[in-house]
Amino acid sequence: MKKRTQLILAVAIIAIIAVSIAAYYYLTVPPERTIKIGLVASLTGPGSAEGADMQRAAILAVEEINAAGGVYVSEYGRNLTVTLEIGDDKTKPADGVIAVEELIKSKNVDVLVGGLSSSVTLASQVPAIDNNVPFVITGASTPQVTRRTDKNTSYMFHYCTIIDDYSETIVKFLNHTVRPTLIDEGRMDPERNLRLAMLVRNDAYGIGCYDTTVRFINDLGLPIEIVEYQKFEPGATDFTTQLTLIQAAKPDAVYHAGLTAESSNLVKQGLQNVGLKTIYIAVEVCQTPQFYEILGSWGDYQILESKFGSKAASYSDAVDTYIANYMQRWKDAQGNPIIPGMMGADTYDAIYLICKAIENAGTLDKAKIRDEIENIEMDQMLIMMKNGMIWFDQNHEIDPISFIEQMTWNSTTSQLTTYIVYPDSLKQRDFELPPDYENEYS
Amino acid sequence: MLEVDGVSASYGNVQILWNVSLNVKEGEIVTILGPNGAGKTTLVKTILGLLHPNSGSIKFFDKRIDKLPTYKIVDIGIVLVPEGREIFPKMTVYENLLLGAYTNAAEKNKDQSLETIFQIFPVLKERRKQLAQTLSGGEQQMLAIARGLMSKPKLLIMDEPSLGLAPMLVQKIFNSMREINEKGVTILLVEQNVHRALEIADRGYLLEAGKMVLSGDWNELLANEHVKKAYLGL
Amino acid sequence: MPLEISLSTLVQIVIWGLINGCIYVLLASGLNLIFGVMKVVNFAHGEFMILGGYVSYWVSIYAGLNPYFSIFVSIGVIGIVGVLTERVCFRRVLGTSKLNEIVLSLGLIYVLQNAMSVLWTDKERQISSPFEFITVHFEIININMRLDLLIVIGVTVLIMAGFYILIKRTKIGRAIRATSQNRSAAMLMGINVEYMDMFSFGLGTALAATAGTLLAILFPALYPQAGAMPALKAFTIIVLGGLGSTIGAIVGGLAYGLAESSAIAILGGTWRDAIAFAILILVLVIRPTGLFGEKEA
Ligand SMILES: Nc1ncnc2c1ncn2[C@@H]1O[C@H](COP(=O)(O)OP(=O)(O)OP(=O)(O)O)[C@@H](O)[C@H]1O
Ligand SMILES: [Mg+2]
Repeated sequence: MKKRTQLILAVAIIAIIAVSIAAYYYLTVPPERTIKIGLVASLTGPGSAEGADMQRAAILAVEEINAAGGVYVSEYGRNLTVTLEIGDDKTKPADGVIAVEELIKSKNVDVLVGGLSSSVTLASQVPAIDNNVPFVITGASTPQVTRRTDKNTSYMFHYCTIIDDYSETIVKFLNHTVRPTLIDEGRMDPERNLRLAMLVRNDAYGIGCYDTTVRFINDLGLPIEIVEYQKFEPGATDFTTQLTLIQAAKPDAVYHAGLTAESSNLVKQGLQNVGLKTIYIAVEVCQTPQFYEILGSWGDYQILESKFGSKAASYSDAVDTYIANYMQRWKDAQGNPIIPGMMGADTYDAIYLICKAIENAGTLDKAKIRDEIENIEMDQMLIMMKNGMIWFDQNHEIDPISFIEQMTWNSTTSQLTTYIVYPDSLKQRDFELPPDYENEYS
Repeated sequence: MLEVDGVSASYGNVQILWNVSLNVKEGEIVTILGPNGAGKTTLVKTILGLLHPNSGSIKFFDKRIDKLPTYKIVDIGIVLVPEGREIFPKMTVYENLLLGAYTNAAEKNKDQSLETIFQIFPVLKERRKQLAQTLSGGEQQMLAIARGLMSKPKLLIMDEPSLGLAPMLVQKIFNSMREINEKGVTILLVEQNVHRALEIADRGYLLEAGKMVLSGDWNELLANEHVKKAYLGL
Repeated sequence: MPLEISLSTLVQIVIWGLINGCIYVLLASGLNLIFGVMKVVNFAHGEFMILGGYVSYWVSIYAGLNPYFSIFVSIGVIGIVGVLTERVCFRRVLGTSKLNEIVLSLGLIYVLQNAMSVLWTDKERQISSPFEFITVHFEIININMRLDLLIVIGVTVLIMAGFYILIKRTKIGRAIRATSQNRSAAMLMGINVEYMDMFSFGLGTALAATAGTLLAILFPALYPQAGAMPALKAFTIIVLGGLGSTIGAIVGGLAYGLAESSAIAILGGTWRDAIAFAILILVLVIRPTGLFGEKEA
C-alpha cells in the first residue's frame, strides 16, 4: 500500500516536471518577428497635449497599416505586422534620453519616430545617433536635429516644419496681408514700419523663432521692426509682466512662440488681464485641440501659422479623411470625438513613410532602412509639400507648405473654427482685424 | 498630596535619578536642597511629566500622574516655575502673564491674580506692554515667578526662584510665598540657599548625586552634621 | 527693454507684483506658521497649495459653487488633510532627527504629486471665474483691471486680517505663539503643544489652499508639479522676512512679488525664478543665522 502511494507520487512528480519543461520550450519559442516602431512622445509635462495627439495618430496609422495586411518585407518573404512601442520623454531632456535608450535597448525597436520639444529632442536623439537607429523626428522644430555638427546625424530625418519655415511664413504674412490691411483701415502711416513684438519660450525653439524672424526681415528687406522682445521660462503660467511691457511698446502684432498651454494662456492673459488688444500670432506647434479649448472665445480673430488645419474648412481630401477616421477612433471620457492636432499629423505621415521605406528595403537592417528613408519618394499625405511629394533634401528635411489660419468664434456652437487667410493659393477668406483692435493710432 | 515613590529617571542612557522618594502634604512648604548637578531640576521636570521615569511612581491626590502629558498635570493643579527665566521673549509682559492663566481654572481668576501680582511686582505693571525680551535679567525672573502665580495651582513648584535677584527682592518673594501658602497653596521649593530655604520651609530633603540622602523637618536638617559641614560652612 | 516706462506701465508692473505677492503672502504665512511652531520645514507645502486649488476646482465644477466661495470648502478640506498629515506622519518623527523630518516632507511631495496625477492628470487647469469678462477702468492712471484681480487682493486682505487677529488676539493664537517661542515653557503653562502642532499644520495648509485657489483663478497654474517653485519661493520669503515673524512673512511676500515683476521687467522673463535663488543666497550670506539658527535677530 505504502509502496504504491510512493510510486504514484514519483510518477506524478516526473509528469509535472516533464510538462513544465515542455511548456517552457513551447512558450519560449521566439515570437513572430514584427516591425517595431518606437514612438518618442511627451506624455507628461508641458508637452503632454501634443504628446497625446502624436500617440493617438501613431496608433491610428499602425492600426490602419496592420488592417491592410501589414508591410511586405522580402527578406521574410511575407507581410509583417507593425507593433508600436511608446516611450515618454516627460518633456524633459534627461527623461527623453532614458526613454529612447529604453526603446532601443530593451524594446529593440527597428526605427524611431516622434520627439517634441527641441531641447528635449536634441538630448533624446543622442542614443539613437550612437546606436545607429533611424529616427524620423516629427516634432522638434529646431533645424539642429539634423544639422548639428557635434554628432553624425546621418540616421536622423526631420519630418516637420522647421523654425525657419514658421518665421518666413509669418513675416511674409505680416508684410503681404497685415500691413496693407492696417494701412487700408487707416490704422497705420504707410511710411512707417510695422511694429512687431515677440514673446518666446526661453529655449532653442523660442529663441530660434526670434533669430529667424530677424534674419528674414533683414534678408527680405521688409518694412517690419521688432519693437519688443520678451521671453518666458518653459512651463510658465504667468505672462502678465512681459505682456505689460509689450503693451508699453505699442506693437501692431505679437508673434508668440510657446507650446500649446503657454501660447493659449498668454493670449488669454494678454486680452483678459493686461488688456493688450492686438493680433496674436501663434505657430503651428499649437495646432492641438487644447489650444482651441483653452482659448475659447478669447481666440476670436486670432492667428495661427500651420501646415495642417484640423479646424479649418475643408482644403484637402486626405486631411478630411484623416480627421474623420481620427475622430471616429478617438473619443474622450465623455464620448466626444477628439480633434487631431498637427504633431499627430506629422507622426502619422512619418509612420507611413517609414513602412514604405522598410518595404523598399526588403529587410529590417537598420542601415538599409536608413538608406531607403533617405531616398524615399512618395505622394504627399496630410502635410502638403511644395512639389506634392514626400522626399528628404540633403539636410534630411522636407519642403512643406505652411499657411496662416484665422480663428473665428462661433457663439452658437461655442467652438472655434479657422479659415486659411494666407497664402493666396490656399486662401479661404480675407484676413480681418479684430473689432476691438488697438495699436498706436487708437 | 504628592507622593514620589522610588523614581529613577535618565536622559537617554545617562541615569540621573536613583530610586528617589519624596512626599508633600497639603498646605506644607517643602524644600529640596542639593549641590549643583544633583538632579533637583531633573526631579521636578519628572514630576511635571517633561521627563518620564524609568521606574517608580508619582501620585497626586492618590492618582498616578507619571504617565500623563505635562498639560494634564498642569490642569490638575501642579505648576512649575522653571529654572532660568523660561519666558516667552517676543510677547509682552502682559501676554506672558495671561499665558500663566492658560488653564480654565486659572483663567476665571485672572483679574484678581493680576492685581495681586502687580502688588508684589509693581515693576511688571509698569512694563506690561513691553516685550519680555527687553526686560532685565532680574525682571525676567520676576516675570517667570509672577506667571507661575497666575496659574492658581494646588501645588506650586519653584526651581531656584531667587537666582539672580537682589536680596531685597528675594526677601519679598519669600514673603509672598509664605502669603500664598497661607491662602492654601502647597509649595515645593528647590533652593541652594539652605538658610533661606529652611527659614520658610516646614521640611526639607537633601538630594546628592541623584539620590535622596536625607530628609527631616528644618531643625533636624539644620542640626545634621553633614548639612552643617557641606552646606552651612560650619 | 525700454528705459522710459510710462506711469501706467509702471503701475501695472507694480500691480502684477502685488498680486503675485498676495499669493506668496498666503503661502509663506502658512509655511512660516508650521516652521515656527514645529521647527519643521514642510517642503511639501506647495503640494498642499496645489491640492487646495484642485479641491476648489472640483467644488466649483461639480457643485457649481462660485470659486471664491469654494475657497472655504478648500480651506476646510485641506485643513483636515493637514491635521491628519501632522497626526499620522509628522508627529511620529518630530524631534527624532532633522533628517527624518526632511525625508518625510520630501517623501510627501512625491506621494501628493502622484496622487494628484492620478486624480486630475498632468493637464494644466485653471478655475474659471464668473467675472472672467469683467474689467474695471481706473481713469486717473488710465488702466483697465480685470475684476478678479481686485477680488483676489480683497480676499487675501480678508484672510490675512483674520489670520492676524487669530494669531495676535485670541487665546489659541497666544498659545501658538508661546509654543513657537518656547516649547517646554508652553507645556508648563498647560498648553497641549501636540494639539498646537496639529492645529498649526492644519491652519498653515489651509492658508496654502487659499493661495492655490486664488492662483488657479488667475493663472492656468494647476497641475500636480506646479507647487514646487512657489514653495521654494515661500521658503525664500520666510528667510527674507525673518523666520517665525508674522509681519515678516506679509512684508516679505509682497516685497518678493514686487522683486519678481521688477526682475522680469528689468532683466527679462527668464529671471523670474532665478531671482528666488539669488535672493535666497544673498540673504543666507548676509544673515546666515536666518535658517535653523536661533531666534535672536
Ligand atoms: N537635557 C539633559 N541631557 C543630558 N544630561 C542632562 C540634561 N539636563 C541635565 N543633565 C545632567 O543631569 C544632571 C543633573 O542635572 P540637574 O539640572 O537636574 O541638576 P540640578 O540639581 O538642578 O543642578 P543646579 O543646582 O545646578 O541647577 C547633571 O549632571 C546634568 O549634566
Ligand atoms: Mg537645577
